Amino acid sequence: MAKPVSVLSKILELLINEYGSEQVLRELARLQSSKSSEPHESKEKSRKPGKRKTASDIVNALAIKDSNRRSLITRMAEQFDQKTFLPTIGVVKSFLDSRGYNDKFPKNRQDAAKTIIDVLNTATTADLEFLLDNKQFSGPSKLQSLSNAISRTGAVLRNRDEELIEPISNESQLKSSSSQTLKS
Amino acid sequence: MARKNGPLVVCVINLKGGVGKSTITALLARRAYSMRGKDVLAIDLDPQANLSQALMRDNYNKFLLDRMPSIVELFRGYIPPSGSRTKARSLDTGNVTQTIFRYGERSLQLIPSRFDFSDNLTDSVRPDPTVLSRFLSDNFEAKDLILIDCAPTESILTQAAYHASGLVLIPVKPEYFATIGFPLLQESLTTFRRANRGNKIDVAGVVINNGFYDGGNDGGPEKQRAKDEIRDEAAENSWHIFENEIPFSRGFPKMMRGDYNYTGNASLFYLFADEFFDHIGL
Repeated sequence: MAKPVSVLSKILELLINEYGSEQVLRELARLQSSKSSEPHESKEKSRKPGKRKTASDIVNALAIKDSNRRSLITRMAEQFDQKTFLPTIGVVKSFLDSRGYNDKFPKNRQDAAKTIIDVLNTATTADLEFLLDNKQFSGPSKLQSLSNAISRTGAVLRNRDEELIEPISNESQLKSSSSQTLKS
Repeated sequence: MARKNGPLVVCVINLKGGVGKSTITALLARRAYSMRGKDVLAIDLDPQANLSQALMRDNYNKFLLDRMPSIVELFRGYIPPSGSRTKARSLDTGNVTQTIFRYGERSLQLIPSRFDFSDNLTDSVRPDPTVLSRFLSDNFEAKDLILIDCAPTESILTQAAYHASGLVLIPVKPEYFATIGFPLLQESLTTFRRANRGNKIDVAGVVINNGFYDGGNDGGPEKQRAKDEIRDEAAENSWHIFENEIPFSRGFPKMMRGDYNYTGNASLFYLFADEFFDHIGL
């Protein structure tokens, strides 16, 4: 016997309050499509333990002729595996959104590896270089490094001579500066 | 493909601070680029630079430390000598913008701001409020949408935003002090229109932003009173009010930090964004 609609309505309301209607609809659509397309056995099969392929494994299996492109995608795959690129599933979704991806979203970060590599493999070399240089998808920001940057730049721009410091022009210097500040 | 009549230029303004201008500008810019597939430019006219920090994220720190050109240099009209270079350089789109996302031919770009922006304008002998509009018309005709995040005070920057924009979006928080920004803004727009009769600038609409303000129990009668006053004041000025309000959600500040896990009701922002884009004809 079907349960009363009011219960369904309340459950849905709770889900929408928690996740937002867009995410709920997306998840419903995903569940429906996986139910209709997969035979019952396949779920059982997919639960069998086995070593998941890393992003680097996936790139290694690809036939990318251009050595420059292969090197760029390999570096990004390594960063993905080390969680310095797209460190959370939320950032993965944000990245896929920014590439106009409107297919089924991966459920978790590890499942996303193949999708990410597929998306990267369709990018132009210039796009790949841009993505490697750009730290847009490296995870949530923290206040301290911004605070240090404002303070150091303020000393230079506002001529507070006692604090004048040479500009930091590369990332490794930036990182070491941040870690020194953290230690102190 | 570029729009026939050039880009839609919208300034996001309220002469009251803390109503969510930068958050709304950042989310609209991202959505227009990602979901509508548009070529977008965002401009940070606020020395607090929250829009720049939201869009550039950790790249903003490097931008500051490397002293890259910003809106400050745009208003100066040149890039001053620095490092081993002893001659000033002229401005162009490449050196004054930061690319946030790019995909094929289109991109989301930003003209970032810096905390010393107001020092520079104060020190300037006679700051020119038309600099920005001239720079945009010379360089960004192919963009689909240009969004300008304004500072929350009446200044040369407000004038610059009015000169550059054809449309105004007004975010308002449903609380008493925030509604006081309305008459101030109406006065500011009237004064600008009188002084610049050739400029056409229309209010695209008002969006009620509950984003950082729940008030508990949905705000109770005081929130409702503020909403009623917003509607009355908007009707008096013939300002449109968007049907979709921005919902209360702790997901908004998370998203500004770059944390997109479990954004809750913030994911409903698209309802307002899509209504806004349809309304302005994007």
